[in-house]
Amino acid sequence: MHKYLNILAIVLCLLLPPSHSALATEVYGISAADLGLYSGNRHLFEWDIAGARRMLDSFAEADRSTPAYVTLRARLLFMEGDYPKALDLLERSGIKGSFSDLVKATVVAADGFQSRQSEHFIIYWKDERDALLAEPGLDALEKAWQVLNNDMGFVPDGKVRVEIYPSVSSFTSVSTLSREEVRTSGTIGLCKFNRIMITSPRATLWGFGWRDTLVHEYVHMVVYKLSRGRAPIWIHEGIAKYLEASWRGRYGILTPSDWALLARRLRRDDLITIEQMSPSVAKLPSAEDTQLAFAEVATMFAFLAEQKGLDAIRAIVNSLAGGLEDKEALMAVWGEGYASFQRAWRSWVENLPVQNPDIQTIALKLAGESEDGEDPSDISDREAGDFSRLGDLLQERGRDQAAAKEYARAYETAPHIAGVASRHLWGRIAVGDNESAVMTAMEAIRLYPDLPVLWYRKGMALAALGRHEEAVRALRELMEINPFHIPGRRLLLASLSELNDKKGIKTQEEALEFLEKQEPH
Amino acid sequence: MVGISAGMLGFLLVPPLFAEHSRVPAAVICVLLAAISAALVPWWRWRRLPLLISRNEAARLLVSRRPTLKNLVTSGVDISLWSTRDALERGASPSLARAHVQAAEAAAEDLSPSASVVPGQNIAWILALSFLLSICAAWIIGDSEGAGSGWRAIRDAVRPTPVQIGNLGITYEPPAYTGIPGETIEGSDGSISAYPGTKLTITGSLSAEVSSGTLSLSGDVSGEVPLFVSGTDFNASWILSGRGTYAFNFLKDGSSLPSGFAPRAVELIEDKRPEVLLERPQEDMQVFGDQEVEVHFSAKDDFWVNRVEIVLSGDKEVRIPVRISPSSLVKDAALVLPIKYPELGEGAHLSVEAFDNDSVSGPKAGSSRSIYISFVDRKKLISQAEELEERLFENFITHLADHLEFPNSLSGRISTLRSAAGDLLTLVDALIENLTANADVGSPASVAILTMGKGLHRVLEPFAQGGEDRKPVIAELEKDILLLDRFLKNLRMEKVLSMGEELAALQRSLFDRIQEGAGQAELTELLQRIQDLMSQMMNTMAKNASHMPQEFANSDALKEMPSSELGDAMENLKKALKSGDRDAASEAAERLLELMTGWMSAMEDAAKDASMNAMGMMMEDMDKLGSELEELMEKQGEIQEETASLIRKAGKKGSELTQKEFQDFLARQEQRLKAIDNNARKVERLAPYRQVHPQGPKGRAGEDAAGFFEPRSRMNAAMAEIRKQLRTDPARAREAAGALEQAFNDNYRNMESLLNDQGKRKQAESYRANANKDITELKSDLDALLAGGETPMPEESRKNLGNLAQEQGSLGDRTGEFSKELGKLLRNIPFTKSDMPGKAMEAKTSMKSSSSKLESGAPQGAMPHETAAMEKLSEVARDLESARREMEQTMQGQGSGGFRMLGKPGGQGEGGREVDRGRVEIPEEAEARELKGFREEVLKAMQSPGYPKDYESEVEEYYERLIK
Repeated sequence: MHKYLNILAIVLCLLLPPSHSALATEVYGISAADLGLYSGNRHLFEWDIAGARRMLDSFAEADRSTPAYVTLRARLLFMEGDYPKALDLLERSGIKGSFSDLVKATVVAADGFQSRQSEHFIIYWKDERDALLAEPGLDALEKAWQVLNNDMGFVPDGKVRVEIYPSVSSFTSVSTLSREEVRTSGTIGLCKFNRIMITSPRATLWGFGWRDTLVHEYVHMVVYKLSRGRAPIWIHEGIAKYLEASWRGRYGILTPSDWALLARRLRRDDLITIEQMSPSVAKLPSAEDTQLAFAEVATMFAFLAEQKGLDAIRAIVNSLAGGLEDKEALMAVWGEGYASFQRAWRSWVENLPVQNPDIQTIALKLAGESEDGEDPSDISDREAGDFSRLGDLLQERGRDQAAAKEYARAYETAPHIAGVASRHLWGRIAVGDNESAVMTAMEAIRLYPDLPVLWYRKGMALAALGRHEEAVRALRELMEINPFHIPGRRLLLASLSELNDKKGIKTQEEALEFLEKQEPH
Repeated sequence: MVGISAGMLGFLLVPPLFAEHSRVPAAVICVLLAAISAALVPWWRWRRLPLLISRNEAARLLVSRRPTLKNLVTSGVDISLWSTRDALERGASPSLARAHVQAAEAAAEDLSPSASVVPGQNIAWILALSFLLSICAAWIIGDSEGAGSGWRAIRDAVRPTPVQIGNLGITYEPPAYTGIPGETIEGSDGSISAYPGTKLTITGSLSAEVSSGTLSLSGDVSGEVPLFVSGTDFNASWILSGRGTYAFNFLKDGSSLPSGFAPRAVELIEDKRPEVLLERPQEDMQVFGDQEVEVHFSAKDDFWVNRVEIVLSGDKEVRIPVRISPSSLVKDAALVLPIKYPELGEGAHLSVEAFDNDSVSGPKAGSSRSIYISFVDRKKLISQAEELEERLFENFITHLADHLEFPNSLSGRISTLRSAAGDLLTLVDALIENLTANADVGSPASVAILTMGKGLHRVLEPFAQGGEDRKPVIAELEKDILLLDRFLKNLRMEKVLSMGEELAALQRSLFDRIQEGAGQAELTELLQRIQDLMSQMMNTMAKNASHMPQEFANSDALKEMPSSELGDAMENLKKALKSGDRDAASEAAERLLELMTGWMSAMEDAAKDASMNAMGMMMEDMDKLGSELEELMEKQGEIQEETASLIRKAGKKGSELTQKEFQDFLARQEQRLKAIDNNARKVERLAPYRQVHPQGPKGRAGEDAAGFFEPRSRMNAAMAEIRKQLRTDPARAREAAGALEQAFNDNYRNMESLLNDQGKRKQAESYRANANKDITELKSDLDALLAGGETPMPEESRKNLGNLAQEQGSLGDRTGEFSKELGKLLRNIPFTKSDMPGKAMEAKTSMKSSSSKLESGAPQGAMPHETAAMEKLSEVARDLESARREMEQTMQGQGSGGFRMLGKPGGQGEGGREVDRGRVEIPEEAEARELKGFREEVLKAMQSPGYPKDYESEVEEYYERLIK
C-alpha cells in the first residue's frame, strides 16, 4: 500500500512542485490534504526529513486524524529515529500491517540503545561491548564526512543516525533482509530508512572491515540523498565501494580475491549484469555473485574516475537527481552509450595485471554457525586439505613441530589457499622461524587482506623478532577487522609497551580492561 | 457197580420225565448220569479205601503188583503190630522183630499206592461207562434233532430267552469345531469310531418287549446311558469322550433279561495337532534391537488353525499374538521388534505356535522349530568400534608425530622409534581384529581397515627391524590417520543415526502398545525411555557436531530437530495417559511417530548425501583423471606413430624396405650368435674330455663345477637375452652383447687352461678370433641401431625428431603429474589394491628414456620405451576402470552410504529389517521446504536475546498452521 502511495506521490509531485502541496486547495479533484500526504510521502521517499516534517506540520488539525496522516507521521518519526513514538502513534490509531510490524521489531531491537555522538554523527549500540566501536566509528565517519563533502559536495541535514546491532538476528529483524540473504550475500551493513545500520563485528566469526563498512553505508546515504532516491543499485554500490576507503585516502580498493574473481568470470563471460543487481546485490544467489557484483561496479567507477575524474561520479548522481535514467546519466559523462562504456571497461580490466585465478572467495561466516576456528577450513585442494587436517590433528595434541611440518607440506601444495597459508604461518611461528612467518604472512595478506588471523600472526612473528613498530601496524589492521580480538589487543599492548607509546598503551589498556570485564567467565 | 446201576437207573427212569418232548434229552441225561456215576464210583471207592481196609489188607494191596516183596512187607506189617511180649511169646527177639520191621519199611518206601491199583481191577467200570457212552452217541447220531432239542430243553429249562436287537442305526453329530456334518448309518454293525465330543444316537428294534434298558459303557469312560424304549423300539444318546466298549441291558418285570447283543467297540479318532513351519528366518541370526525381525510361517491343521503366537524365550518368555484369518492352512508373516521386550535379555529362541479350534478337549498347539536370535546393541557396538578406532587413531598420530619430530621429540633415539613401531604393530593387529569383528564383512570399511593393517605391516616391519627409510612409514601413517579420521566421523554420524532409529522404533512400539491396549504403567515407562533416549541423542549431537562429516553436521535435518514439536507431542501423550484418555493418547502417539519419522528420514537423507558427496567428489576426480589418462594414451599413441613414421621416412624404400632391413638385421644377428656358439663349442671340444669332466659324464662336483662351467652358463644366458631383446629393446640387447663377450672369453680361458697341445691351442685361438669378430659386429650393429639406424637421418627428420623428443618429454612430465594426482586421490580410496601411481611413474620413466633416444636421433631406440610406456598406461587405465566400478558398486550398495562401519546383522534376506515407519503419512516435501526457511528464521531469532516480542505470536501462528 505504502509502495503505491509512494509511486503516486512521485507522479503527482512531478506534476506539482512541493511548495504548492499543502497550500493548494484542490488539483484535478484531489484534496489539499491528500496532496499534502502525497507530497509528504515524496519527501520521505527522498529522505528529505525536514521537508516531510514541514509538510505534515502544515496540515490542518482536522486532517491529522486520518489513518493516512497518522501513518505518514509515524513514518516520519520512524525515519527520525523516534521508534517508540512512532509505534505509540500507530497503536493508538489501531493501524496494523507490515510497517507497524517493522516499527515494533525496531522498538524491540533498539530498546536499551546507548549512544555517543560527534559533530555530524550519532552512534547507537545495544550490547555493552559494542561501546568499543563508538569512538573509532565516529572518527572514521567524521573523516568520511569531510572527504565526501569535498568529493561529492554533500552535507547532511542534522546528525546522521548510525545503529550497531549486536547480532545478525536483530539486524535482520530491522533491516527487512532475511537471515539467508545475509548469510548468502554477506550483507552486514545497510543504509535504509534514513539511517545506517551495521552488525557488530562480534556477530561474525572473524570480523570484517567494519569502519570501511560504516563509510560504505554513509556513501549510500550520500548517493541516495543526492540522487533524491533515484540512483539504481549498481550506481549505489559502485560509488559506495569506490569511496568506502576514501576516508583513509584510498579509492577504489579491491582485494586480490575480488580481482581474481572478476578476471575469472570475465574470462568465462559470466558477469552479473546491472539489471541482475536490482533490487539488491544482497539478493543475488551466492556470496561469490555478490562479491563479483561489487567488484564489477567498483571497477566501473574506478575506471570512470580514472578516465573522467572524480567529478564524473558526482555528475552522474546529480544527473539522476535531475531525472535522467542511469544509462543516460552515464552517457552524459562518458560521452558515448553504455555499450561503449562496457567495452572500454572490459578492455581496461582485461589489461590489468593478472591475478592468480585460484584465489579463494571467502564468504562471510556468522559466529556460532561455522565449524571453523581462526583458520578457514575451506580448502579446495585435496592434498593440501589432507596435510592441513593432519596438521590440525597434531596441533590439537600439542605436537607443534610435527604439525608445522604437515602445514608446510600443505603450503607447498597450495600456497594460495587462505586456510593453508594461515596454518603454515602458525607452523612457522610454532617452530620459531619468525622470519619465514613474516614472509608467509605478507604473501598471504596480499591475497587475503581481510583475514584477521593473518594480521594477528604477522604481528606475533614481528613482535617475536622485536620489530614492534611493524607489529603494531599489523595489529592495528587486525583491530580494523576485529576490535574484539583480545589476544591481538594484548599483543598490541605488549608491542606498544616495547615502543613506550604511552598514549597507545593507555588506549589499549582501557580497551582490554573493558573487554575482559565484558567477557563471560 | 454203583455207577452202572445209577446209569441204568437214569436210562430207565429219566426219559419218561421228558416224554412229552422227546427221548433224546432223556437219553442225554441218562448218558450224563451214567458218565457221572461211572466217574464218581471209582473215585469214591478210592477215597474210601484207606478207611475200609486194614493194615494187612493195605499191605497186600500195595504189594499186589510186587510179589517179591509180598512176604517181607506183609510179615513186616504183621510183626509191627506185635508188642515186645508178643514177640517174645512167639520166640522172636525184639531186636530181630525191629530189624524185620525196618527192612519191611524200607521195602515199602518204593511202593506207590496208585500204582498198586491195577487197571484191570477197574475194567468192568470202564467197560460199563464206554457202553453207556456208545449208546448215547448212537442215539444222538441217530436222532440229532431230537438230541439237540432235548439239550435245548434242558438249557431252556434253566435260562430265559435273550433279547435280540435288530435294525441298528447310529447317528454321528461331530463337534462344531470339526466342521464335519452329521451322519446316520443305518444297518450298522454297532461298532463306533468318532471324534471326541461327537454326539452319538443309537436306535434299534428289540426281539421282545422289555420294560426298560440301559446302554452300558466301559473302557476309558464307564457309565450307563438310559434307553428310551417304545414298544420294541429304542434309542439312546451320549457324547463320546473315551474309547472302550458298549453293551445293552434289559429289564422286564424287575428281572434282568439276557441281551442277544454282544458288546461292541467304541473307537476315538485322534484330532491332530497343527503343523507349523517357520519359513523365515531360517537359521540363527543377529539383529539390532531396534531392527524388526520379519517372521514368515505357515501352519496347517486337520480342521482349523485358530490362533498363532510367536514365542520368544529369553530371560523370560514373551508371546506375541499374530492376527490371522483362521483357516485350515495359514500362511502369514509378522514383525517382531526386540526393543519392545527388554525382559528377553540379550537374545531369545523364536518359534511359532499355532493352536487349533478344538473346543472339546481344549485347543491343541503345534510348534515350529526354533531359531536363536541375538539382539545386538547397535549403540554399544558403535561405541566399542569408536573406542577402538580412537585408540588406533591416537596411537597413529603419536607415532607420526614422533617420526615427524625426530630427532627432536621425546623418542629422539632411533631405537626407541623402532621399538614403538613394533609396539604399534602389535596393537594394530589386536585392534584391527576386534574392529573388523564388528564391521560388516566385505564392506568398504572393513576392507579398508584390513588393507590399512597390511600397509602398516609392509612399512613398519622393515623399519622396526632396522630399516633406515622412514618416508614410507610417514606416508602410510598419514594415509591411515586420514582414513581413520573419516571413519571416526562417519561412526559418530552412525551413532546419531542409530539412536534415531532406536528412538523411532521405541515410538513405533509405543504407538503399537497403545493400539494393543497396554496398561498405563507400561506405556508411561515406555514414554520415559523415549524421553531419556531423546535427551541422550541431543547431547550426543551437541557433543559431536564438530566431529561428524561436515555435510551431515551442517545439514538442515540435524539443525532442525523438531524438539519443540516432539516435546509438545510427548506432553500431550503424558496428559492423555494420565487422564486415561486412550483416544487422545493414540492421537498424540501417532503425532509423535509422524514427527520422528519425518525427522529420521531427513537425517538419513543427510547422512546419505554426506557420504555420497564425499564419494561423489572422489568419483568426479577419478573421472577427471580418467580423461587425463585417455589423453595421455592418445598422445603417446601419436608419438609412437610419429616415431614409426620417422623411422620409415629415414629408410630408402619406405616402410616395407625398413621392415625388410630390420628382418635382415635380425637374421644377421642370429647367424652371428650361432657362429659364436659354434666357435665356443669347437674350443670346448678341443679340451680333453677327462679334464673337462674329471668324474665322468656327471661332471665336476660342487663349487668346482659351478666355477668351471659358470662362464658357459653366462654365455648361454647372454645369447638368450640378446635373442629376446633384439626386437623390442636393442639397448638391453646391446648390454647382453657385452656380457656375451665377457662370458665367451672367460669360458675360452677355462678351456684353454686344459689345452697342452700347441696345435690345439692355435686352433682354439682361431675359433676365439672368429667368435670375437662376430661379437664385435653384433655390438656394432646394435650400436648403429641404437644410434639411429643404419641410415643417416635427413636433416628435416632430425628436426622432427627433436620436436618429438620435446613432446615426449612433456608428456612424461604430464604423466608424472598425473601419477601424483592419482596418488592423492587413491589415498582417499583405501580399497584399491593396484599400485597405479607406481605404474604411471614407470610410464613416465619410459617416456623420458624415449625422449632421450629421440633427442639423440635414435627413433628405433625410442620405440621400445614408447611401447613400454603405452603398456604401463594401459595397465593404469584398466586398474582405474576397475577401481571406478568398485566405487560405483559401493555407492549403490551403501544405503546410508560411504564407509559405514556396521552393516545390519540381520539383513533383508535373513528376516531382519528396519522398523516400518511408514504407518504415518509424511508431510509433502514441497510443503516442508516451504516452511523450512521460516522455521529456521524463527528458531534462530528466538535464540538471540533481543528477538522481537511479536515473533512469539508469529511462532504460535506458524505452529497452528502446521497443526491445521
